[in-house]
Amino acid sequence: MYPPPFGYIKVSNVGDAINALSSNEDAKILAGGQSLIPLLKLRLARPSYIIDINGIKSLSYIKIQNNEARIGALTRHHEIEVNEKLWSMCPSLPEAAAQIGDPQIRNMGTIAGSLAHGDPSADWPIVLASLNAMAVIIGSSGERTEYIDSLLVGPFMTTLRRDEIIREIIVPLNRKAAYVKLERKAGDFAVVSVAVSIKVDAAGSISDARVMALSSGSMPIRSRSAEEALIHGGSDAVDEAVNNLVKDTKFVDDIRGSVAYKRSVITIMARKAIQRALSR
Amino acid sequence: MAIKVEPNQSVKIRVKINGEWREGLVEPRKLLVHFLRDLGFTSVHIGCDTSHCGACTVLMNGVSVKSCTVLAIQADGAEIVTLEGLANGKGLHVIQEAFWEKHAAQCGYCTPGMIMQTSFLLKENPEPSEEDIRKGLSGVLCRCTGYQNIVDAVKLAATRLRELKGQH
Repeated sequence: MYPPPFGYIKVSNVGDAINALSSNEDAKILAGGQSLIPLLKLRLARPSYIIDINGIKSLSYIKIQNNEARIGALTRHHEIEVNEKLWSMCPSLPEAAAQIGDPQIRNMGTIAGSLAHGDPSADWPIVLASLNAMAVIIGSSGERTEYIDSLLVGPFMTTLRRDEIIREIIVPLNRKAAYVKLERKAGDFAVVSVAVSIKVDAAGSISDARVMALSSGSMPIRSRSAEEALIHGGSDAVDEAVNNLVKDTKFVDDIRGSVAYKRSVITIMARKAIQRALSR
Repeated sequence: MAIKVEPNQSVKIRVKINGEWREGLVEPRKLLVHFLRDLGFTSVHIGCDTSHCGACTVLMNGVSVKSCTVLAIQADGAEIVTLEGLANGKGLHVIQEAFWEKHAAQCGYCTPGMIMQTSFLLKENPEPSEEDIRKGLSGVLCRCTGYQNIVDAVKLAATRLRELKGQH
């Protein structure tokens, strides 16, 4: 399959990328290309120009300081997957990275590319939202930050304006977290997945929790009732949180499974995710 | 300085393929797999066209990529290794030998992708467990489903590569 004709602009800094976006209607940023190029081949995307940002070397880094991780937009999933500091300080990030697509996709695909693409079934939106992470976004009118929670507003729809690109992701490192995903086959999107992060106070009780659930065919949801169960619950807090999460999640029948199947397996994934987060 | 190429305009790119710089004229929409095949590197197979099967896997700047999901113009200035370049002109590479001995091919269509992905896997993880191998090769599909012999071949290749390394 051949992509439709498009122009190509290779930029070496963020300013040129923003200029190219503002001066060319329907231009698209090319980061890892692992979603965009398949869409081009299927001719579902017909951009005027592809703006290749792979030459902006300063966008590729993982910095850990002041109890937060700063991850450059162009950082590949694989670089996150093999980062030993992240495995010790925020294991749900490399845990999520290792479950994206397949190894070749992870060698090219980028964290910010996945967010900007806005696929609700992807792993980064749910995981980064569960960690209360933020995106640093830059455009012609300056820089702003946005929580990942609110970046994705619908399937393939984000708050990114035409001339904006994601520059960096900031992940606070003050939470214990885990991500558990069920795939129908290797490298697939999730049938269901659960991302959990908790804060434990000095007395050992849960002072804060963020619980996100994804069921294929629907947008990821945040289950506040599951969070409350974890924070206020007694000895059966985990059971209650799992039950509440199932109530809050929207299930639809699709190619990845029936409503009944997803409703059943998500309880197992949710329990695993909560227990794994607690054990970290 | 930004470089701009108009739609349908062709530009010259230079790519180091298996150690040799090659040039070609490409439109921005040309995929790397087509560029490589047009130059005669026909080990780079097109199996699915939807970025799933991995038969077109090559190394780009040392990491494995699906060459059907990279634009040729993105590879301008890059180093590519295809199956043709793996053995460096000296008979078969250790991984190729292991695939041969373990009969790790049925129809053989996925084999170049399997071998290139194996070379990336073993570079990153010289002593993979069976699970590491299965996960490491999950981006190349064998529709003959001959996975068991492929896993055996990767194990054999890993052992031999470690032995070779130990000798030096």
